[in-house]
Amino acid sequence: MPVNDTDYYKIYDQFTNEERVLKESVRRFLDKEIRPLVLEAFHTEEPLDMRKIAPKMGRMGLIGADLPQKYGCPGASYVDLGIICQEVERVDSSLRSYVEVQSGLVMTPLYKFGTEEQKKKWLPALASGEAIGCFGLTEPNCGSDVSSLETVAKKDGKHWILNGTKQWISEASLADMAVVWAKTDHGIQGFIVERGQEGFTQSFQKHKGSMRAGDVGELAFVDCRVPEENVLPEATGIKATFACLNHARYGISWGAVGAAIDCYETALRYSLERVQFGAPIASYQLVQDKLVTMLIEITKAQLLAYRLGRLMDEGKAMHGQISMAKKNNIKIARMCARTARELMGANGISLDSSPMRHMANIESVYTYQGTDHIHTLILGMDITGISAFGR
Amino acid sequence: MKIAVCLKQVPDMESKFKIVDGKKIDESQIAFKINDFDNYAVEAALQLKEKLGGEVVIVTCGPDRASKDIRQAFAMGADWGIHVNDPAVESGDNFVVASVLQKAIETIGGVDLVLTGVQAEDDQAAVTGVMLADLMGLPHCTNVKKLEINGNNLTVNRELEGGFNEVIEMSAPAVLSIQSGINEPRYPTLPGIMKAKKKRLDVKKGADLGVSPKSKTDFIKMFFPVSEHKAEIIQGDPATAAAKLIEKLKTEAKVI
Ligand SMILES: Cc1cc2nc3c(=O)[nH]c(=O)nc-3n(C[C@H](O)[C@H](O)[C@H](O)COP(=O)(O)OP(=O)(O)OC[C@H]3O[C@@H](n4cnc5c(N)ncnc54)[C@H](O)[C@@H]3O)c2cc1C
Repeated sequence: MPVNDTDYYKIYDQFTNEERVLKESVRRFLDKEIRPLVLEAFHTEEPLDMRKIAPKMGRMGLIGADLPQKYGCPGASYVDLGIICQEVERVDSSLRSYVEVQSGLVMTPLYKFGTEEQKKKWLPALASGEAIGCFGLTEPNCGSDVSSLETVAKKDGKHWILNGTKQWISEASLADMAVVWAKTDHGIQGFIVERGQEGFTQSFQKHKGSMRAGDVGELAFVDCRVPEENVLPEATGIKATFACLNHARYGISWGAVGAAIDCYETALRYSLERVQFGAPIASYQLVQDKLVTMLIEITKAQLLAYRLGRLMDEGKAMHGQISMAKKNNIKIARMCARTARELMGANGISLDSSPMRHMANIESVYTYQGTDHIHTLILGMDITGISAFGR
Repeated sequence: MKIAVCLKQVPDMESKFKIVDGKKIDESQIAFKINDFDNYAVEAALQLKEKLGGEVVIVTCGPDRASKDIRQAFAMGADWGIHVNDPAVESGDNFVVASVLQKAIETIGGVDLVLTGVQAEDDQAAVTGVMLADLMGLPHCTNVKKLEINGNNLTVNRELEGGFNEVIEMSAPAVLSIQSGINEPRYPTLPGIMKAKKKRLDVKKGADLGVSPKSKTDFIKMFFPVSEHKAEIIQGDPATAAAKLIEKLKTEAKVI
């Protein structure tokens, strides 16, 4: 594997030395230690063994990258986080799901909204990969419309009693703890629910056509008693959920570039080698057009992600910009996966090469963390001032 | 134990190479990386430091871009470094580089061990380590596959053709050229990279070190050899094909 990937506009020249070292190192680590495991995990829908992999990723500093060293995290930048997501998703979207769920959706709310005790208890364990967390927001009747949550929490002395079901939750069956959002008398509230708590069951969702190398499943709460100290005190209202989502959406915008590049490079190599009608298929104009389209769109996606990263680090990023990068870059990854698959003909449908797997995975990424539509509506509202979300 | 590791940045050999004017490589499409053999040398030095204490100093001759791979070595755990960034040195041959490395290592003072890679992946000259040892007047061993240290005594396995090992004893200070596969180099981690940002890197010119050595060789030109496709597939059942092959090896290729 080359030390670096497609970079037609020399965007990596804008990286600092440290950012380049990170990119190359993460790439080598993943290619050697994890990439070889993905095909079988995806094929059998037996998720990658995160009990083994997560601690390795933790040692590499790939989890909670942007959070402070005080809590056992690397204390690095948003661009560093983006670089990690890009390299991780180049391997498999389910692995990037893990990185962003844990970093953005579990550790970030703990850091932003948690008590000092909660942070000390969970952040170092999560950063090291020794503990695995999940994020429970989506429910059978609550998807894009987060305000329609049906899981309820009722106060009972020094406890809260949770009832409800969370569905399509990454790392659901494996997690040691869940950050769960429920409705209380005073509105939406975040809770920490630990594995094994009475009334809390975690299960694995089988028969998926996407994210088959990852753990996705359900969390069920039946009169689940959560102690008072597990309430995330500052995590109140729908705004709190959005604060975490922005982090994860940002990571996805880089991750999508990784998946797109992997598809493009696979198709480019293939079309240079595959001979039909007496010449490599790369020599035909129709094929070149498709390769060039992928390259142009990847380059634009890289520029969006890179600029967004610097804006995040300067504290200047706006949520509309995050939506634009998420929406655009996933659309590009989706196009590249399909186009790459197409250029590889029948061989393209084999899981022995990556485009078909990326294509399947990206369908999830297209939907989660705000569907493509939802990001259009966020941007539409931002530029017109008119909400088109509901009637 | 104070260890200096000589580290070179080289092109990723999977890059696209284009020669400009028969003189130099067009760098615009090339990704640069740490010379693989030097990566093993860095790891070997770090393992010694972990066992015996001391410090690991990186010494590099190269342009601005080489600082990336010095930082990589810092991220792995090296302590500080010297970067000789001087076009005059850059355009010199291996002798010039060895002379500059010698002076740079002298400025560190008290170095017990100098590690280099066996060769650089790009020029494959495999002489810089040997020249350096000679210039420093130190014992030297190439192709080091195993390294044990007991006080000042070094026991070194030298890899020969066919994987044979030769065991050599020598005493520090010494210069060793490390063979790939001697260890498994660690990956720089993000926490390591964060620490690397604060590590000291002294940037110097040849003149700062009081050297302006002249090349001992003249570089004339570089070119890609013309590739000749002379493969022939011999058809027929195995017995006749084999007979035909023997015939051709005897009469045409004249190798048997
Ligand atoms: C692999 C995977 C992992 C996931 N992991 C997690 C997790 O860890 N935690 C978690 O909480 N959730 C997770 N999710 C759930 C994900 O966040 C939701 O699927 C997503 O929010 C969309 O909700 P929905 O599936 O209910 O679709 P719906 O909201 O029902 O949308 C269905 C369709 O209707 C469209 N639509 C809805 N409203 C509008 C509107 N106003 N205007 C126009 N179009 C509209 C949508 O764009 C979409 O096309 C995961 C999902 C997947 C697939």
